[in-house]
Amino acid sequence: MIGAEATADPAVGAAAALSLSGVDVVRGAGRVAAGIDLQVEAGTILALLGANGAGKSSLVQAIAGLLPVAAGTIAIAGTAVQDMPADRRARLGLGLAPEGRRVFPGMTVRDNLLAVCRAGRAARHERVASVYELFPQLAGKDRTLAWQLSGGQQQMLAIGRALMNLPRVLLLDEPTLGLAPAVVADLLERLTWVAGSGTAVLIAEQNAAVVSVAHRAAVMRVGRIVLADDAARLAAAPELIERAMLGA
Amino acid sequence: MTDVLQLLLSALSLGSTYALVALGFVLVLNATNAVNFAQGELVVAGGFLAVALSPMVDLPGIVLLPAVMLGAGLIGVVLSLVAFLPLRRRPPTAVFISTIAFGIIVQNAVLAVSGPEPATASPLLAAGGTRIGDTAVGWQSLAMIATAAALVGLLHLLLERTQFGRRLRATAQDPEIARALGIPVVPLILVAFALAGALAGAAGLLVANQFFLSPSDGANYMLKAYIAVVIGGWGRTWGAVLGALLIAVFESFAAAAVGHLAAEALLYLVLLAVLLFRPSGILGEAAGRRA
Amino acid sequence: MRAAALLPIIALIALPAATPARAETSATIPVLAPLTGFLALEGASQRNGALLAFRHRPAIRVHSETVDTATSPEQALNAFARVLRGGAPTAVAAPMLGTQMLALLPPAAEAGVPLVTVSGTAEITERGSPWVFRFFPGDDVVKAAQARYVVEEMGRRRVALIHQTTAYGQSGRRHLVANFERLGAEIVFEDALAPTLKDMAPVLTRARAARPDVLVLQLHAEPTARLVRQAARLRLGLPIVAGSAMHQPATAALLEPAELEGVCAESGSSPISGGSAAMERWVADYRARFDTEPDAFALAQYDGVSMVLDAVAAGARSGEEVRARLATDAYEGLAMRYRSDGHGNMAHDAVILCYDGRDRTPRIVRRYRDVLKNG
Repeated sequence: MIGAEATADPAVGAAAALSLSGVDVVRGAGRVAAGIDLQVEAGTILALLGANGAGKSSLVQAIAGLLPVAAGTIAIAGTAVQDMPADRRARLGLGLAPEGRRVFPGMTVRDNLLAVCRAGRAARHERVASVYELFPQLAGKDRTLAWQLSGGQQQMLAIGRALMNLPRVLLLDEPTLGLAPAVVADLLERLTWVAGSGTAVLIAEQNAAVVSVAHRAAVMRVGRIVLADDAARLAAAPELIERAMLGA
Repeated sequence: MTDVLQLLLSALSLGSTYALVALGFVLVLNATNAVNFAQGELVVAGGFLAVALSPMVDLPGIVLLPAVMLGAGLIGVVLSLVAFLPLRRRPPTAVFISTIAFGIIVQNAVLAVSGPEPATASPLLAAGGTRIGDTAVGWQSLAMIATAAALVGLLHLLLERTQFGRRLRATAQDPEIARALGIPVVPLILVAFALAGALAGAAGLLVANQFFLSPSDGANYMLKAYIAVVIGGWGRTWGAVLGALLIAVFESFAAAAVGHLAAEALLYLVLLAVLLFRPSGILGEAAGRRA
Repeated sequence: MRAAALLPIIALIALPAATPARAETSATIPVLAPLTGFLALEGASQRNGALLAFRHRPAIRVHSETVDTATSPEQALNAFARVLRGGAPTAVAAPMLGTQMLALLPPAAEAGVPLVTVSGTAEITERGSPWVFRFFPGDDVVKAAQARYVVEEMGRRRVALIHQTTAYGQSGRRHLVANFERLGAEIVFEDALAPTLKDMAPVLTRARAARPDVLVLQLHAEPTARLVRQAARLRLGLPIVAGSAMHQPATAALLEPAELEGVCAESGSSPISGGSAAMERWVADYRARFDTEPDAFALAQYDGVSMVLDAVAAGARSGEEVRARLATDAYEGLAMRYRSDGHGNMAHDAVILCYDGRDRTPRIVRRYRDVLKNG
């Protein structure tokens, strides 16, 4: 099963796989996220919920390095990365499945996976096999051009692509958007396997269903985190989540 | 029919060199989204390198190919270091101008070293030819086509089967996400420019014997490459090859039908038509973001 | 590799007077030449000829500046304006590109500066300017010689005429057509080519279809050589009589001797073909000084500038004085005898030279003296 490179034992006082402290994100003239504190431990899933425009996508892009951070620190396994360019963060163990999937449309599934992989030849092909184990639907589409895949398949490809360098942290931006409920359920289950192999997973979502597979959950509204708790407790009180998201 | 074969042979020999120039142009376009206006001068540089080396070597010109490609490739790397990398965060016009300027410097350097005379190089294999029916078939024409085809084939393998090729294609299709997923941009750019130079240099060697080479030829090759890429599909490698061959064949047959002046005008009319009715080119633009 | 000036930069040449006791004879003669672009080869010849003329007259202190006029009329005008700023020239060795010469006629008249040129384009002496002096035989002379050789010496009557789209090509074409008609030959095929055209197969294929018995060219150097090579590779099998570009050693250098067999050209002269001891000395001096072979343009420019220097030595100082002398005097130059016909055409002789396929040095096979008077 494809997953994190080095699985540090969280009990041994190591820094969280992903840690944000006082992060502000500015886009254009407006502040889209302010004072964000959050942490994702290795092997766990953090569900970051928010309605449209809450700022969660911008936050994910800022973590990935696609948007600049106006204040605060972002750390991957203790290393501050907020001033680093995106490709350096990727090399430090950040994997991104972006909003809208953004697979490389004119390339085959296999080439999509191989292109981003920094490992040697043998390891590359092993990892492709692992991705196909995780997402058997993709195996049959090995030579298919990415633009021809269905929405769900593209999402799987985007995730598989992000996993090709065995990241410490996997970021997913709105992965269930446009997918049928059955597909969503299947996808979420597979994400638990990814976390299970040691990867820290952060899923930014409008769809509260993601809480069902998360360990921790946070809710963003108008750029701030207004609620953060263990996922289990929040799953038992869905109206809390709804109120936090919509601000009632 | 004789005439058709005759014209086709000549057109394809010239067109295959245009294809190499256009391919190099597209590679840089895909890696950087920048238009390399010095591509034509890289042809001249490579060609004059071949001219300089020809008298030293008493062998068929084809043996000069590795040296010429290496030399021109190095100039391509210098081009990227001097005219592109420092300016890539500026607006695109800065790179237009810097590559044009670099091209002028290369042209003047060639002029200074070699003088203003046009020059020729050794034939690739042999100068003579044979007849097939009434058609005169020159060895040089065949050698040009074969060599260019081999280089295009090698490049295809490079793009399809190697990590470099995959990274280049990924960067071409979504530069932002490619970077976010860790594809290192600078090495890619350097190799793309090196390849652009190498291919242009090869074209210079190929063309020097049958069509001669002058220090001021660069602009013409640049124009052909640009048109080839527009007609064939902006950013498509196979489109560049197709466009280049189409230009050469069209020009040849149009000229044979109505004379050269009209043919040149017709080429530009066709270009306008393509831009109006199928602006993404014959093969369409290389797939960008899916809406 | 060049030994002389490599890049078109300013070259100040000041030669000391031979006799310090009396006042120095001096002259300002800038050299404007296309040193870059498609006429760079001819421009370099032109410049070298002028510089050699200065060298051969140590008694005259010549102030000169070499300016590259490249390929467009605007550049020639800028160059001219620039040399004017340096003080009124005695005369100017003017660019040999026809379109540039035409552009310079008005400003030269306005500034009172005689233009000494080797451009073959007929029109430059047809505009009624008293300030232009052409030392290369004009198209009316050389094209007559070219046509006469084709019809009278070679006996050909079915002509395929291929010319350049430039002023040079158009002018030559006009004269060739008129001459062939007068001589009773038929032009069975005609086409105009841009100088940058690479693939000659279409024009040659079309030409062949008209079944000519000779190929007559009016092209610049590189296109001429290109066509000769591609005609050989297409096995056209026709004799070629080309314009003066084909006499240039640099043009012949592009071709293998075997490809040159059956190729002839017209020219005002052919220095490397020799012909006299003085000519051979001149060629040797040129080779030593410029590390390259001289052509008729260099020699004609040399003769023209030498005539100006003769005028200066005889007392002419201003542009007008030089002009007056050039307009009336006869001058025995190295290539031929020069005398104005009243319109500024100084050269009236032509030669036809041919390559025999053994080497790249042509032989002069026919001389035509005073072509227009002698029919």
